[in-house]
Amino acid sequence: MRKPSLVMTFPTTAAAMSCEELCGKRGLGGRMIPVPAQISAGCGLAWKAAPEDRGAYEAALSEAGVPFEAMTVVELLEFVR
Amino acid sequence: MAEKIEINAMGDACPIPVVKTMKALKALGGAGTVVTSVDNQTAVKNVTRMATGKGCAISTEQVGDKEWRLTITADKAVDVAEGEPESATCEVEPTGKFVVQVSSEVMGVGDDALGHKLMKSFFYALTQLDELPQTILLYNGGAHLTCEGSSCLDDIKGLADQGVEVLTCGTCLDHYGITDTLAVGEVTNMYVIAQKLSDASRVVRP
Repeated sequence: MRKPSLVMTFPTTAAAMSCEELCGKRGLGGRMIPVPAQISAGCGLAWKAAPEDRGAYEAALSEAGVPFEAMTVVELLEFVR
Repeated sequence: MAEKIEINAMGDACPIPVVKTMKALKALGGAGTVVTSVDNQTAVKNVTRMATGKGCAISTEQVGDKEWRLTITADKAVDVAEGEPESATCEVEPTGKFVVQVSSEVMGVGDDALGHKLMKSFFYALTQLDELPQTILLYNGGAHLTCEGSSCLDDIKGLADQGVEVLTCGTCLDHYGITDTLAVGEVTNMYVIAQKLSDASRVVRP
């Protein structure tokens, strides 16, 4: 089953790792994934989160000074648990 | 009367049946029929794909345990470029026995912090594949990934829920003192690991 997800991309791998650390500290949800092919054919790490949390992520990343490139909503495959 | 050419491609490995058939279609020079005999399903599929791509009609008849006769009918001259038959390629059908072999907690050699992130990404990417692996084998440092606290655990559990067999080396769990923390899949031994690897048609190592 595919569901819309908010995918944040970053200018560097270090920035993606900083986002993961920040989200852990602040209790923000989400997880690290490879950048989906729908966004870029390149190689990189991205952060996947719920689309409705976009505002919270923008605020947190800006406040912490973690640079990000884009926030895109894409349909990603989710396993039924 | 339209010409008919018979091609015996029994025992020929791909792409030879495709090459022979394409050369025969060119040799027809107009409307006609090529009947190609092959001895495997991969050749049937590849010759069919080529003939269909050339605008020909094709019918397939299985005439023995391992013998198929493909009747390819062209209603006009088939366009085959110079050197095209020789450059034909084949698709080999995956057999589905696709095993992932994980021997470390990290993916690649270099920065282990990055290696952990890459491994986590790898397991997520596995969940997105059209064809899931049949088995995931984890040993040595890889044994940590199926235990409590692993950052890959949710994805591995998801794969297990989808029917992927997850097997972790018991000797390794014991060595690291983490047997009690195994959180997904089953404990296995070296005989099973050797058997699964030797039975696999493809082994993927992150």
